[in-house]
Amino acid sequence: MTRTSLRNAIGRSGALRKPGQRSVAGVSHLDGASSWVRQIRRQQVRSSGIAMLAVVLVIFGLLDQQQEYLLTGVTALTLAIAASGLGFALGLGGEFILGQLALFAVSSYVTAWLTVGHNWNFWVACVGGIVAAVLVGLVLSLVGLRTSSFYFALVGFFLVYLIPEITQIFSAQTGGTAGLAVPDIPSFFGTQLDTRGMFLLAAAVLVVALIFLDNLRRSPLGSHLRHMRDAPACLAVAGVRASTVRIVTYLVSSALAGAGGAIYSHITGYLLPTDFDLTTTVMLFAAVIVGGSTTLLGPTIGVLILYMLPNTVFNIQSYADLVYGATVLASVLLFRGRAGTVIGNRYRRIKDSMLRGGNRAGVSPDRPRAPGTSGSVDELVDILWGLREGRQQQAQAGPLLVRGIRKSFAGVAALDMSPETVMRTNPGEVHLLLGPNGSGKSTLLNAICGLVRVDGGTVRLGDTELTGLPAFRVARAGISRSFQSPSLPAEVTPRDLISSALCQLRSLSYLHWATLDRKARRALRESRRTAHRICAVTNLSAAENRPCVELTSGQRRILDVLLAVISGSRIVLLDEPAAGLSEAEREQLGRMVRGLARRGIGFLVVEHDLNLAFNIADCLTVMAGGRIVIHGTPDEVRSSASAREIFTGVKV
Amino acid sequence: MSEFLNSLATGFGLGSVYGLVALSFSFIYRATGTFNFAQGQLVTIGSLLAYTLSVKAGLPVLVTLIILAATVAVLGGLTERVAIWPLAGRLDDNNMTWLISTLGVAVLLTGAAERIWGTVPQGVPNYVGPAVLHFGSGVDVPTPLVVAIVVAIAMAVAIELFQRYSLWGKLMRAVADNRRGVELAGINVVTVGLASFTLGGLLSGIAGMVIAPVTYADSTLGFDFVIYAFAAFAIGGFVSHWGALLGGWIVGCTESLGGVYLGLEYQDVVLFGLLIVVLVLRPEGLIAARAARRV
Amino acid sequence: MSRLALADAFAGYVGTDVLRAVSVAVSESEWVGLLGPNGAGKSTVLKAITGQLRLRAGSRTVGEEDARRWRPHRFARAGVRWVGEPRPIFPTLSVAENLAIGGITRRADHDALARHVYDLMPVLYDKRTVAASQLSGGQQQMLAIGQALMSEPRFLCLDEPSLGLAPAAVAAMTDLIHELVASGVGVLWAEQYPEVVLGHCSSVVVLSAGTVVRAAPVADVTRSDIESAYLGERSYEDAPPPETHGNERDEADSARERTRP
Repeated sequence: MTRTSLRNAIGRSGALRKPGQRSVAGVSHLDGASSWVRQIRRQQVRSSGIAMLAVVLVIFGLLDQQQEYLLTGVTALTLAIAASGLGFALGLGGEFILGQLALFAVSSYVTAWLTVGHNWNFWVACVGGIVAAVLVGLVLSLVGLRTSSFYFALVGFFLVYLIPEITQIFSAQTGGTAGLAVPDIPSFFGTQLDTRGMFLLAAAVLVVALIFLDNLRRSPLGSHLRHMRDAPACLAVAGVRASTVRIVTYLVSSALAGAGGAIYSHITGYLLPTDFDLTTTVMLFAAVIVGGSTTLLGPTIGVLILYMLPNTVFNIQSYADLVYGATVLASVLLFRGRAGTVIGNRYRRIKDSMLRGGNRAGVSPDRPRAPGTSGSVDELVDILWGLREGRQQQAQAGPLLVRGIRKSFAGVAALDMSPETVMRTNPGEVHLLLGPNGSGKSTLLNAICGLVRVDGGTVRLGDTELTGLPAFRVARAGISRSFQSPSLPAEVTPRDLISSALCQLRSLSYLHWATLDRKARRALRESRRTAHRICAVTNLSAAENRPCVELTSGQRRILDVLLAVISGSRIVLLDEPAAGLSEAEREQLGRMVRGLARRGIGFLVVEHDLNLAFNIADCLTVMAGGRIVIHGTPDEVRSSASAREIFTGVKV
Repeated sequence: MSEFLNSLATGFGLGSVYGLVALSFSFIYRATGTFNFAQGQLVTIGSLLAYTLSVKAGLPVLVTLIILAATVAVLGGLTERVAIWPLAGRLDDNNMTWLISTLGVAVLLTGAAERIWGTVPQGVPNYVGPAVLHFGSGVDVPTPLVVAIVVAIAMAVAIELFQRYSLWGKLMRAVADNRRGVELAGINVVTVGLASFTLGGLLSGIAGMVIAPVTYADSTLGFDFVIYAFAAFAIGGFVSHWGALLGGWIVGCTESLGGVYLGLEYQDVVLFGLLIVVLVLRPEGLIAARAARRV
Repeated sequence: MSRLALADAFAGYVGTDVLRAVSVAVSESEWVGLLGPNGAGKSTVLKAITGQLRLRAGSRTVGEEDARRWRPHRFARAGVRWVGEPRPIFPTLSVAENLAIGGITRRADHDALARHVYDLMPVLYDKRTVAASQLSGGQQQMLAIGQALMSEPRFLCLDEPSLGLAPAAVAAMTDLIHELVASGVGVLWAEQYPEVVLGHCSSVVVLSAGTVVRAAPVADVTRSDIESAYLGERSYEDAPPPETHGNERDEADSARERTRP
């Protein structure tokens, strides 16, 4: 049998689940096993890149005889370590750390100074260098937190520019522009590390750094970074403080710059301030972009192409500026900064088709898969509720009380509720918020979840006062929300996104994730399995492993609502959840909301689709002109003359 | 005392150049939402062309000015076509890809300039009048510095008039107010961006020519200019065109006075410190729109 | 008679299809009312038909030409103008400068067109040197329409122009539109409240949840047609009755919560 026909045979036998199939008791066991196999294969494929790199480096390091190749190689490796840190911050978080080379330089000089001036042991000096780089990085990050990304980049760039001057100021320690001789040769358990030894050391550090980064990418931190880049508001309402994410990112990237710099200091035996110039900074960025900032190995590949090739195969010293400049331009234009991702997409498609055995999950954007019957929605609700069993105690059990909110934008009142007005949403109740454009519904939702500061009034959840709290605290107190136009990170898959949200529920610290210890591994495994089950019973099953940018509107909407519901809050705010959904999808959404409400989750839903609204609501509130005008049950509102007038403009 | 005044004059003179570049940043940013990191190199190329045209070819000042201004203006426009226009779809993202592409152009121009003119700074004699102006009590100011100040003020006035009274100037203001609105009126906003980059090139070229007698025609100075100009922009640039000039003078004087009284190696460190202080204490301004997306 | 039309259009924002198989057309000298509740997609239709949104599927024509792939700025040159939210005015520019930019594609006739616009809307003449940010909401609306008129459009698309305006101003606007239609302009007026346009337009398109539910000359459309589109008479099959589990709301609260102006 040829490989293709074998794959087809497997596909036809149904051992691999087809999209649209509900899992029935007998098949689900098989499904579990085959999905396990798929998971292991995927794991292998992911780590294979790092493993291959490690093997290549070791072979090169042990066999290569040419001294200058080794020298160039080890310099390239140290730059690759710094570039990987930069790629992590840039590709995932959108942080333009133009000062990365400055941190590299700080670490180099400090390490050298510690061994030369104070006779420290090399290894301890390295730690000193890394600490110095991290400290400077944190100071820079304070600027980054206070100002825009642009000024942050500018300040970093300025710092690199200052390197010659700073070395001159501290010329006693750094040798000034004449440079610093570093005669020290580090030793590793008795063996002196010559260039070859340093190469292997750098290779080892790079591989460890990549594994560490890979773990972080797959952890909730990776997910948070992508959100920070693409949808900062979503981060806040998921209960994550953006500044924490940013600081951790700067820490990681600074540490890597520090590691590279520390090793660099003892390679050539001499440190010059001109080693760290602006052209090299640009080259570092160019390497990250050419290789691909959103992939793990991209920056390393970029450095190989942009640093090793020109310095070994072609001699471009005098043309360095021209070549780097042209390369940066060309790569940005050709790939719009996504070289690695373009190749990665192709690679992933090939991988996908191999793993699925010819049973391609076709995504037809015009016709999403037929919604599940009521059975599968029930199943979804069961799964989601099962997640919450353990967490019920944590979330507040009280009702959401909104009292007398007032808010003006530039002198125009968007919300103007009188002080005695109270709007109440109880857990287990579906409360619809209706009203024409400009009535203040969205502003009210933003006020409740803390994205907007109110001028007057209070918001309380049970006994907890929420007024004036920043969005991430409101989220942690037990309110979550979905958005009108969900911003989802482009390259992540729904399954990864849901899995990240589930992982976050476990509140493991970043350290667990970085090292991917047993707790983290178990959390990841279980989350991915649950995420798969969730996707299977919604319209996401066909697109479970497609990047979010390829989802249909209905799928994006359901995904956004799922993420809001998974969070474990007792009150969920939904902002026009039906927008862009087909009739059938609205129905499924309605059932899901009702099913979860039956289990005790409270929903406050802003919606324009009156049909949907009347069908799922326990009570409705109608707003107009920033105030609450009508409140009651569906029947009461439907028969109210003033409501009809508000909605149709037809005077009765 | 005369030392103080002399270094102040140097500060204002050099600061005028930084201010002109900061001025370019200002209207380029308002028209396109981007910054041209290669602006500094355009200044350098301006001064190098001044050397080639007025010293080596011996052309009269006015002819040099016209050829030079036109050439660097075209280079400015080319930067937009090469580094900004191809990214057109992505300009609305929270994305600063243009930072890398213009940096690439900057490095490219540096390399090209070094290949064409070499790395040795070339002297450019003063263009008009005596080499030094005497203001009494020992204050002797090199004429080029005075010329620089005068030219900077003149250009700022010219830009102000241009933006207020000419159609293209109004278009640039309109694009800064409401990009969509200009599109809906039938104008391709990208072309307005091209115009702003070209105008920026014009200003930078003239600035380079004017300051060449002071700084020498030096192909390695590109990044220095751009960093000082950005500092000028950050410190004073977003208030108005005059803010850009003011920022430039502040930067120039900080450099100059810092160099004289603290030592040459402390010049830029002092400026860096000042920049950090300003950014931390008053981070808002023109860039506030982007800062607002921080949660 | 030339037309501005969308046919079987699918359009929306990133990943979201707001419009499904929507066909809307307006001819010169015709006044078409585009009705529908909030969220139905009226604004999206107008943005799609004036080139501000890309069509995922379907066609878009201006006169005889296929406008499917046109860039947004080409539409004004072809005589298609749009007035909606956010208003295409320039806050720091004066009224006169706003009009100048508005008519930039017809620079040669600027003076004559400006005079015509000032005749139609005298308040703009009074405020011609004032910065647009200083105008009231209604005046800004007038300015936006004036800008559109400065290029002598063949088609004018208005997105809820009556929002925030006093009835008198709305009446003045409908008079103005009648004049324009009489002089040959095709007007597509999107409106949430049918009353505003029903007495004036010649045909009506009713939109609901992204699809066209009714498109007919105004005489053939009844009040109940419109009401049913707005309030929705469809219901789900097998819908479980809404339960009120765990509802701790007490009657006193609900009494207090009602009808609080």
